[in-house]
Amino acid sequence: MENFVMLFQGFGTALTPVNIGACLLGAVLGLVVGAMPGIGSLAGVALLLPLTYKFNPATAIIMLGALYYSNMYGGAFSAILLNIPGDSPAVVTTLDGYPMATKRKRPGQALMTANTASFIGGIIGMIILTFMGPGLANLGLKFGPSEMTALLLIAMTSISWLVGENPIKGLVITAFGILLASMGMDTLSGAPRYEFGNMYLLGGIPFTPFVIGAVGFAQVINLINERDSDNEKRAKNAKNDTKLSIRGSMLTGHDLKRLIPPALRSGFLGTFVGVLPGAGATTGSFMGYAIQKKFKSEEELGTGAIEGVAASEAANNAAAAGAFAPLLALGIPGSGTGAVLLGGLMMWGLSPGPLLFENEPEFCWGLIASLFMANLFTLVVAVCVIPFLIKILSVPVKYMIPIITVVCVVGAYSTSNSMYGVIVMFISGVVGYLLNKNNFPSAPMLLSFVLAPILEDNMRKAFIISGGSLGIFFQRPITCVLMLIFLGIVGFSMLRPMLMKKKAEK
Amino acid sequence: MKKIGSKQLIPLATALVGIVFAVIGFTQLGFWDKEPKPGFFPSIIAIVLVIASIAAFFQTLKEEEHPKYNKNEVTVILGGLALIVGTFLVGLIPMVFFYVLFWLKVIEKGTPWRDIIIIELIVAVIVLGVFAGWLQVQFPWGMFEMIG
Repeated sequence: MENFVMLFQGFGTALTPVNIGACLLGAVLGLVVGAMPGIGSLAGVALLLPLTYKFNPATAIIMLGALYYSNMYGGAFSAILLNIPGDSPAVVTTLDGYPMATKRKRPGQALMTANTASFIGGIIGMIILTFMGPGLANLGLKFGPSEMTALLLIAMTSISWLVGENPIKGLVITAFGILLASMGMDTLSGAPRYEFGNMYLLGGIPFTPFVIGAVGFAQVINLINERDSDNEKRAKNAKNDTKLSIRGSMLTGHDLKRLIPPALRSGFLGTFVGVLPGAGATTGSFMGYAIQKKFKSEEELGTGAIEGVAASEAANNAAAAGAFAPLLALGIPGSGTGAVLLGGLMMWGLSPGPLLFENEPEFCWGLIASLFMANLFTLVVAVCVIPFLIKILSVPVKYMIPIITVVCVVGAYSTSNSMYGVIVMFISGVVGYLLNKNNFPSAPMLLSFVLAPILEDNMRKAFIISGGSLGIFFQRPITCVLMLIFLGIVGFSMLRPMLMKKKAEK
Repeated sequence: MKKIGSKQLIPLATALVGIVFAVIGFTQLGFWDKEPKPGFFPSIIAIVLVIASIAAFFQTLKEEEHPKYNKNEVTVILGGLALIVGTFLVGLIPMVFFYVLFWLKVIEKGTPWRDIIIIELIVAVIVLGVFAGWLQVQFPWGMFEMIG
């Protein structure tokens, strides 16, 4: 109850004309930056940090918080419309968002699903943050290396092996993605590895250009095959059934029934994942999608199912909210973006930690209240721009090819400020295209690439703590439960082909 | 004997990658010395990759479907490659505009000039307006940098 009163006082701080304006500006800029492939929330927050210098600390952090938050919405736009995730948490959204927009011809509804699920996930995250923020942060601290290892093993196996129909191919691509991620510098010892004498490879393969290529450029190569049929359709004056209005993008009651359960589940799960140090919104969205795989979806996941879009989008927004718990209550950033926000807080003379809620209640609760505002503002702005966004899909395919290629090249360049990023994008695009062409799923490669460094760090730390004993993964209760779930998933995946064969014989 | 196509070449390539990573991991990076060394995790994964690749290779031999490649797909890849090579010569911004013009006028024959101008304007808004102007990305200018 006390927290509820403090939240209302926070709204008193946040609801000034200047703070509302800052929140709105942060929401709009965040949406634009989030939708730009290659920029992402980390670069977006860092780039726009100087804009906040003119404000007082509360206003500045409110704007940065809104910017960070709306980034999560924006990342889904390009993922759904162009199959290019604006940011790494939106990678999973491409799996169902793009097929829903193109194959099922429901681009407006796909965007509306993403917006609504993001809003629901965000609200759940913020309510939990309001009432359990400091407590959650402490729970997150109970997750040591062994717990994180077990959690990440579940995340990787759930998605990688079950995304495709073929577990062996999924395993090949997962392992390939992990090896690519291990190139560069060993994060624990700092020793170079698998750099093959190349100066650029010392820094490893940059994630954003890699994902822009594997998803975006690979998509452009495939898109050329749709050009002729698209031309024929236009020649016949076939009516474009894309509805360019907010009303035409509205979800039906049935859609909402399908959307709400996964959004609620992912909202709770995402908040919890967001609280864990180093897990972040990307892990949250992958976990949300993996959990949805265990539940029934009306359409199969990966074919444009509303449930898939809702699960990933709600989870990543909830994780973004959950990440504020350790940031504010313990001074521990959950991600790179959190670290930039932490730097911003310290720049304005605030010391995040257990005493922040006591020493600076006006600021803390003002920030949490502003996150509620940002969630609402971003939803309104995001819904209003849908008619303009879905016009992108009415552009002829033959014009989209050079435009998307340019966006891929420029986006890949902007992340590294070097042509190395563009070359990585190009190579991963060709590899992604060859994998798709030969029925090897490329999604597990992206998942393992992003999660492998966190997994390796935690696994090695766990072994160092235990002196090399595997017992550490079964002694602590949380780890033990998570490991049993992991082993259950592996066992089921291996037995599934045999079970299916027996079932077919019957 | 069954003909080997790209479906079989992919697991063969990943198996090769696995062997290279495992050998480097065990021989150069170190696997275990009282604690896990830099080669520990990648070496284990490399072995898993080799085993899974061999299984995938035999599995693909049973598959009947073969992927079909067409020259249009190669054109897109070559277009992307030309854009990268051209960037080293004249810089990214001029090359991007030239690439769009070349694609629409030469590859997509018969694109009206009005459409080309509109698309070039969209590209200008994205590249110059957002990335170069607002986000202050410093794009390379190829040999023009020497003039500057």
